[in-house]
Order: sequence, then C-alpha cells, then structure tokens
Amino acid sequence: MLAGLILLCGVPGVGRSQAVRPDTATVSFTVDHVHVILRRNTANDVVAANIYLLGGDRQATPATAGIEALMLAASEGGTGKYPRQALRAITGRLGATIVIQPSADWTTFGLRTLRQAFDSSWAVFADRLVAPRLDSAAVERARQQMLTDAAQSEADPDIAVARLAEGLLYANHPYRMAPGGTTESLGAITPSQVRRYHDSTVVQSRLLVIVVGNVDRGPLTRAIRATLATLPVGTYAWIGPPPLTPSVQRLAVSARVLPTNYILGYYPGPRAGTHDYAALRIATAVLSGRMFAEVRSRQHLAYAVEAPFLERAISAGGLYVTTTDPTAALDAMYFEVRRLQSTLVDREGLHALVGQFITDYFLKNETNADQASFLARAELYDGDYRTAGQFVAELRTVTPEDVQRVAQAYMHGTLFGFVGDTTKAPAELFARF
Amino acid sequence: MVNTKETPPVRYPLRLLRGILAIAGGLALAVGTAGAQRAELERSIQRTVLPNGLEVIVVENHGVPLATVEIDVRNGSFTQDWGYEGLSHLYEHMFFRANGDYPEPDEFQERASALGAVFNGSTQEERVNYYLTLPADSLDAGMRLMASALLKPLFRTDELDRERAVVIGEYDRDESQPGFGFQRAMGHALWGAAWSRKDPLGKRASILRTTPDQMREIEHRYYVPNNSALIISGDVNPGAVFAKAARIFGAWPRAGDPFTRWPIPPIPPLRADTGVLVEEPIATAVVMLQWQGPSAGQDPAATYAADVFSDVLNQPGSRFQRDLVDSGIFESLGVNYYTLNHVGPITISGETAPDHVRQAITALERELDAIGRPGYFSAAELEPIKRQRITGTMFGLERASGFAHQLGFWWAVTGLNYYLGYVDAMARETIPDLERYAHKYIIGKPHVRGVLIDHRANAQVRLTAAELSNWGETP
Repeated sequence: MLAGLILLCGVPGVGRSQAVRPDTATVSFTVDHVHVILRRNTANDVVAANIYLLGGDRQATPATAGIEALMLAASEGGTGKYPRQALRAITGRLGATIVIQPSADWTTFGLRTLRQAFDSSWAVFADRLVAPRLDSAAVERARQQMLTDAAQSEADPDIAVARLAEGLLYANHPYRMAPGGTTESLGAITPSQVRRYHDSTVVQSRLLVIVVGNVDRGPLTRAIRATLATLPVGTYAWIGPPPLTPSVQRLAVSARVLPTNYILGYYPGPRAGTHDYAALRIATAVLSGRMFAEVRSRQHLAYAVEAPFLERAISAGGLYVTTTDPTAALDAMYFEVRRLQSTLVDREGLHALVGQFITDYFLKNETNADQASFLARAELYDGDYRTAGQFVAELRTVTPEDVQRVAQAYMHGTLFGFVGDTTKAPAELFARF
Repeated sequence: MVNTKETPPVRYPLRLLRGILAIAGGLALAVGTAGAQRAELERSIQRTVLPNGLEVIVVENHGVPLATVEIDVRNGSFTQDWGYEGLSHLYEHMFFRANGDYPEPDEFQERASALGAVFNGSTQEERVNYYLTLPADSLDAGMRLMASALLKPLFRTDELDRERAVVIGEYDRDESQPGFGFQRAMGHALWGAAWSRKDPLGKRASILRTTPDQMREIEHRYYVPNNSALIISGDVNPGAVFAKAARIFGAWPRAGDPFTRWPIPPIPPLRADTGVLVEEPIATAVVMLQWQGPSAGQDPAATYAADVFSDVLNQPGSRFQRDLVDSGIFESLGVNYYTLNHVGPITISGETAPDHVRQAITALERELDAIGRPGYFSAAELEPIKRQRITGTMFGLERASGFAHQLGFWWAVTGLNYYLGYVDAMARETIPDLERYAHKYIIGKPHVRGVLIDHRANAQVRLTAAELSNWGETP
C-alpha cells in the first residue's frame, strides 16, 4: 500500500481548474432553539442528517468518560413511542443506518437514509435522542459491548501508542478523556446516572443539526419541531477548549513482544481558524512526503511513516513510524524535521502539493455525510459554516515562509508514546525532538 | 496494501455491526423496486471492450470535479504457486516504481504530485487494483501516467531490494495486530494445501528471494489486456473516456487467456471437522466456525442465497440473534460469506466470556441444527433484506472513487454482469433457496471450529484443539 501519498517535489504544477463552486444551496436557521444548517443537494437521493451534541465528553468527568456514547447506544433499547421490539420490528424495512461517533469536541448522532424515507426515518431516529427509555437492561447490553470494544482496542498497538502519546499531550486537559470511555469508567456508570445525564445534557441549546441531501426546509423544520424542539431549551453555549497543558514527561513506553515497534509523538499546534492552522496542515504534509521518501523509499527503514495532523479546535502535529530500527528511523525523521525548519521549501513543489491537498479535499467531500462533517467543523471551529468553502483558498495562501515559520514555531517539545521493545527506546533518542 | 476485506454491497464486518445500528421507518414510497436496480445501475455504468480485450467501464458522477482512474487485474494470491507466495502483492508495490517513461526512482510519484493526484493499490485473493484520483481536467494525463506504470515496468533491482524491505515492514505490522495469528491458523486449517492461494500476504522467505525475473513472469502471465479492466469514475464524459482509452491502451497487445495456459488447481475440499486453538492476550473469547462455501463461477445461485442467508441471521431481532446474543450467550455474533470465484469461505464468528466458551459453542452448534430443520426462516424476514440491499447500492453510488474499487472487485471475481444483476437476483431468493444453500454448504458439513482465548483464561477452562476437532463426542 502507498497510503496517503502526498509528496513534495520540484516539478512545476500543471494548470488545473479546480475551484470551489459558490455555496448558494446552504442555509442556516433555527427551529425553536435548535440550530440547523441545511445543504440542499439534489444530485442524489441519499440524505445525511447529523445531530452534533456539542462538547462531547467534555460534559463528563474522568469517572464518567464514555457516558454519552453509552447513552446513545442504549437508546437502541427503545423509546416511549417505539418499544424495543417495535423498534426492531420496523428495523430492516428500510436500509437506513444510525451512526454514533464520539469525539473530542462533540458526539455525532447521525442518520443515513434515502430521500423517500426521510420523514419516517427521522421520526424514529430523533425519538431515540429525545425520549429513550434507557432501562437497565438496555444500558447493560450497551455497556457490555462497549467494555468489550474498550478492552479489545487496548490490544491494538496503534491504539495503545496513540493513548500513550495523547495521555502526555492532553495531560490535565479535557481532551484527555477517551470519548468512548475506559474499562474503568464504563464499568462503574450506573443506569440511573445515564438517565440523569440524558435529562441534564440533551437540551436544544446543545444541539447542532446539519442535513445534506435533497430535503426541503419546510418538511425539515416540521420534523425538527415535532421532535428535537420538544426538548428543554437549556443554557448550553459552545466554547472552544482551553489551551493545552502537556505533561513535563516526554516519553511513555509500553513493553510488548511484537515483530516491530510503534512510535508516535505529538506536539501542540495552533487553534483552528488561524492562518497558522492551515500552514501547519501544509507543513505536516510536506514533512510526511519527505519522510516517506527518505525513511521508506530510500532507507527502507519502515513500511509506515508519516507526520499526522490532528484536526481539532486546538490542533496538534505529530511524527509516526513503525520500525524494527528506531534509532535509524528517528535519526532520519529528525533530519527531515530540521531540514524543514532550516530551509525554505521549493515554491513550485509547494504549489503541486497544495494541488494534491485540494484533490484530497474533494475526495473527502464526495458524500453528503462527508459534507455535513466539513460544515460542522467550519461552523464550530471557525464560527461560520461558510468558511468551509474558503478552505481551498486558505490553503493557496500558504507560502514557503509560512511553512518554515510554523515548523520552527510548533515542531518541538514532542511527546512520544512507544510500544514494543523498550530496550530500543532510550529517552535520549526522543529528547531532541 | 493487502486488503482481504473488500466490501461487497452491504456486507458489514462484525465490528461495524456494533457501531452502525440499522433502523427503519414505515416506508410507503418505493425507494426503487428491486426489479429496477439493474436498469438503475446500467444508467450509471457504461462499458465497452477494446479490440485487444481490455474492458473499459465508466461511471459518471459529477458530484465533485475529480476523476478516478482504476486498473484491475485478475491476479492475486489465487495465482500464487510455490515460490511465488506474496509476490502478487510485491508486484503491486513495484507498479508505482520506475517504468520506461519515468525511469528514475520517485519519478512516478513526482509526476503524480505535479498532476495533483493521490494514488494507491491493493492486493486481494482474486484481484489486484491500482487507482489514482486527480482533477477531472487532468484525466488524460492521469490515464497516460497509469498506462506507463502498467505497460512499461522496469523492475529495477535496486528498487526491488527496497520494496522487499518495505513489504516485510508491512508484514511486521500485520503480525503485530491482535488476532492475526488466529486468522492465519484458521486459514491454514480451512484451505490446507491451497492456503498460499488464499493468503495475499504470502511467505517472508518467498518475498525475500524475489527476483526481477519473477516479476516479469507475473507481468507476462497476468498483466495482459484481456485479463484487465480500466475503470474511470467521476466528473467525466463516457464517450470521451472511451476514445481516450482506445488511444492510450489500444496498442497493448492481446495475449492468450492466462487461466487456460496456467489453470488454477481446484481447492482441495475439507474432509473432516478440524479444531484450532490460539492463545493471545484478549479480554473475551472469540469463537469462529468456517466452511468452504460456493464458488461464484460454478454455483452463482448459492452465492446469492449465501448473502441473503447471512443478512437474515445478522438482523437484530432475528431468531438467530435472539437465541444466541439476546440470551446473553454471545456478546455479538455475525455471519458472512465472502464471494470468490474459487471457493469463498463462510464464517460465523462471535465473542463470548471465556468461561462461557463451551456453552457458547454448544449453543451455536445446536442453533445450526435448528437452521437445518424446516420452518426456521420466515418470509417476513426476507423482505427487509431486499430493501436494505437496494439502499446499500444507492449509498455505494454516492462515493464515485469508492464505487470504482467496488466495481473492480466484482469485475475480477464474478464478472460485471453478476454485479449488475445482484440486487434483482437477491430479491428473487426464497426460503427454499436458503434451505438448499444451508444444507449444501453448512449443515452437517466439515468445518473448522476455532477459538481465540487468553492463555490465563484457558488455564481455567482447558480447551484444546483436539476437543474442538471432536466437538460433542464423549472423551
């Protein structure tokens, strides 16, 4: 596999006419106190409707991490209007699906359906959020599945190394909580806590609804008024998270006997909505391409090597590699970080890379659900859904000087997780980053 | 990338079933009747065959201003003889290396970058695909770049040395994943001497010994136009694409049918129940039963029945789920048939508490007996399945780039006609069809009975491979 290949090279870019089409089809409005963004897309019959529960697990404490996902999963156990068996009886008459996706800044409760079935699908979907029964049996079933997932995911070295690195990066910060919960938190949450959590946090002011599809505003308004608008209004106001407070500890290791070693480091990045945010996004892509060329293609020290960019209200950049030779791989990666910090990237090459970014941007907006996610990030991170349409233009303003500046400003103080043969992970190997 | 889990229409891996909970409403309006699905797909998919045998398939979707150029080849682990285990995958890596038009290392990547293109490839049992997505107005250049890689590979020794190391690095990562050893042990037991033809990852030793001549042999045998498809999807005009395809790929010379000259040996049947026990650090116990299922080429009717059968059993609230999951015996349980032209596997797998593992296996085997008796399925269970398949097709069409990969899989494994008629054929399935399939491939048939369990947990329950082989027999 040659995953995520975005390389920076010195070949002049070719002319291309990619342009963001003016977004005249998207409107923003409220239904009672529920904020709604509707993008009318008549190109197909698929409808994506996402309800964002703002703040996500920031509403919870470390002891109750995962409670929001547990509440939503347990709503499968039925509602006042649709008892479990009734819910199941109508399940399958249509291929609509519900997606539950907890994340650091919000929890997504999403519906994927077809236009012709939207009204009936929405009624069932929304009722699961508005009036779930959350009886003990339903909570226990959902808890058991989530506990199994949490325990099994620990066995995955990629997840384990991410938890180590994020644990250092997000020490003493709301992002430190695992949105899906931990075995400890999930095991201790009681059904009555889940019900209280629902009653106190599922309120109109905490919801952002984004619908993309061939749906008219009138029917959508009526559907929301009959469901979400019956919830208490509440007093929630979205605010971004506080600044990061990384740990002073720079390395966390987990010894495992594996055929290779997993290394992931993160450093704090800028807030979303700033010019640095776009510049660091580009800089990490440049670094990814260079590390791929050097560490994988030229020195063949790794199959997987990249410089990730965590897209959140407060971003982070990173360094990732799986290798049997950590010393050589980290030497090569460090050289590339220093090169990015000390020399300007080629202007023509940067232009080509931005072209690949734009292709990737469109690839990530192929489906209505993708577009809903993009609109949500723009609305919540930038304060205006219309900035989603300016993404490409913003990337094009990034200069080689910007790339060097953000590489110097942010690519240091990296906090590493290491999973594998810890005799190959002396602290001094990581301290220079 | 080795990918053995191509996603056919609405076939969810077990873990996805947990996160994606199906719901339904009273759908009064038809979302497209089953009988109309072929016509719907044929409106979206246009195709032609060049004189050299290259099949050209175009999917028009003007959602975003991109085009995806995909090349699919009927190659993969099913063609791997002794000494070639894993080499279809290594070839996939070499595809993006130096070629006659771009002879220096990294020149392919540099050209792709200049075009604003992102690219990748994957290797499975019965197909290898290569795809590149770029701005639609650069389609011609993208097709030419892919043609250079396809038609003029150099297999430079220095690059082969590097890619061998990279593939071994990929091997290391795969081996580090939980459950990897269990899946391979199950595969060995199910396929026996044919295992190398079901294992795209292959053998380390074979990969490390690879020569440029072996790469050229694979090219000579399988990389011929009459064993390949060119799929273009996205913001394109089919007529223009067909003309470009003829201009760029038309001179590629036709060759003999590789599978006439180098026929794929039959898969040896599983003769007896076999037990597999693997101990790894794991919180639950995984129970997996596998059978050798139908071949799409020989028994296509059974493959449709297999998918409906799986869907019915996977439905929340089905008798199968009520008896085995809602009852608390399993935490989750899923049924799957993986479509292949040369015997696809049928898998039932689930998770349970380690101290319930014997009870769980016994309950599952008892349920299989019940499935074999008349009256297990009801007609009411079949209807929602058909609707879900229709919706699944609509969801698939939405993502033009992903739809190209999906079409390529079906083209290689079953032929495109199979895919075009898929939903309609599913809609015609009846309860007797499901019963025939179950009796022909599952009920009372030899299968592999596997358990993945933590070492300490098994010290308590003391399960052995021998017990799993002879399940139900008095010791």
